[in-house]
Amino acid sequence: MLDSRPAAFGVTKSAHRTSLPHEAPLDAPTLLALYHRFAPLVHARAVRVVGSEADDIVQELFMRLIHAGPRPDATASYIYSMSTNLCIDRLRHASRRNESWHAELGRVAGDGAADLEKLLVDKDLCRRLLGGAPGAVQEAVVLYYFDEMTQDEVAESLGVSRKTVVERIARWKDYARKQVLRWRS
Amino acid sequence: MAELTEHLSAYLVDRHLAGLLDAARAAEVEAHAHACPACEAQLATARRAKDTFLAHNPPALRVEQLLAARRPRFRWWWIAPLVPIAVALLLWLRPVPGVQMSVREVDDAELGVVGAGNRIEVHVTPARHQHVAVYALSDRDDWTLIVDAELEGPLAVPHDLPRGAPHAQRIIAVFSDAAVAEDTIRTAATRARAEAGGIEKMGAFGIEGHPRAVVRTVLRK
Repeated sequence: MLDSRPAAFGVTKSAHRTSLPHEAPLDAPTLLALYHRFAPLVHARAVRVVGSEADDIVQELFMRLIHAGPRPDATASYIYSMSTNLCIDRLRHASRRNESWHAELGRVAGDGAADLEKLLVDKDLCRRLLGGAPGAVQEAVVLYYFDEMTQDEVAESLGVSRKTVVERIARWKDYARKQVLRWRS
Repeated sequence: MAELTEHLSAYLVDRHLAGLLDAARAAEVEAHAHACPACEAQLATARRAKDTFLAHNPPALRVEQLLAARRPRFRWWWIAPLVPIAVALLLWLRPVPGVQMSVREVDDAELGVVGAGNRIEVHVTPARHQHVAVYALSDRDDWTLIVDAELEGPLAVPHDLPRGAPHAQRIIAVFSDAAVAEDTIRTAATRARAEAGGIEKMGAFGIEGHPRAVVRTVLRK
C-alpha cells in the first residue's frame, strides 16, 4: 500500500469542523459540480464499507450537504467525514436489526484454525463486526481497513496522534477477537 | 511527498479520480499504475465504477431531484425563546399539593377569643414552597405580621393576639418560593375581604404577580 499522506487537498477532521458554522444552503450549479466530482467517490467508499446500501448513503449525504453548505476549502473533508459517519450509522443499525450474522460468524470462525488477521481480511465479516464495535474505534477502522489509509493518514484525517490510531486499531482487534471467540463457542 | 513504492490504496485511488491530488502526485499515480499491472487493473476498475455510477445517476437529474426533495430545515434555535414559557406553563399547570395550616389555641382561648391574654400558635406545614408569611387581619382592618420565614419543614409559631381586642381575626398564610412583599399581600387580602363582604366570609385568594403562591386562611373568633 502506498504511503501517501494527504496532500494539498487533505482530509482532516479539524478542517471539517471549521466547515460547519458556515451553513449557507448550496445553489444548484454548485451542487451539480459537487455531485459530479464527489458522488462517485462517496459511492465507491460506501460500497466498500456498507455494500448494497451505498446509493442511500450518497442520497443522504447530499441532502445534508445542501443544508450544511461547507466552505469550499473544507468540502472534501466534510464529505469524507460525513460519509464515514453515515456508513458507520448504517452498520450500527444493521447490527441491531439483524443478529442472524452471529451464526454466520460462528461458521466462518468455526474451525478454530483461522487466525484473526486472516479473518479480518474478509470485508463482509469486518463490516458486520464493525457495526457493534465501540464508537471510538469505528472511524479509525473504516479509514484503516476499508480506505486502506496508512496509520499516519488516519491520524491526520481524524486529527489525532498516530499513537492514538495504533491504540484504536489494537482495541478493534481485541474487540474482534473477543467476538470471534464468543461466537466460535 | 512519499515515493510510491507499494500498491495504490483505495483512498489514493478515490482522491485521484475525484481530482483531489495535485498534478505531480496525480502523475506519479498514473506512472505507478502504468508500471504495476495490479494497480493498473485497480485504477481501471475504479474508473469503470465511476463511469457506471454517473451513467446510472446523471448529476443534473439527481441534483434536480435533491433540490426538489429538499426538506425545509427545522431550526431548533427558533424554539429556544419558547422554552422558558413552556417550562413556566408546565409548572403553573402542575397540580399544587395541599398545604396545611392549623391554628391551635394553647390556653383558654375559647373564653378569650376576643379577650385579652389569648395566645395562639400557628402551625404551618409546607408542601413544596420554601417561604411562608403569616398575617392576622382583623375585621377592623388591623394588619399584623405573625411570621415571615424561610421554610425547611413544619413550623409552629406562638403569637399573642392583641389583648382586649373585641373582634375576629383572619389568619392568612402565604406560601411561596420566595418572599412576597407585604404590601402586595395586604392589598390582595384587603381586596378579597371587600369582595367577600368581611373577613368571616373571605376565603383563599390569589396574589397578583405570584401565580405559584398559595394562600391558606383560618378564621379565629
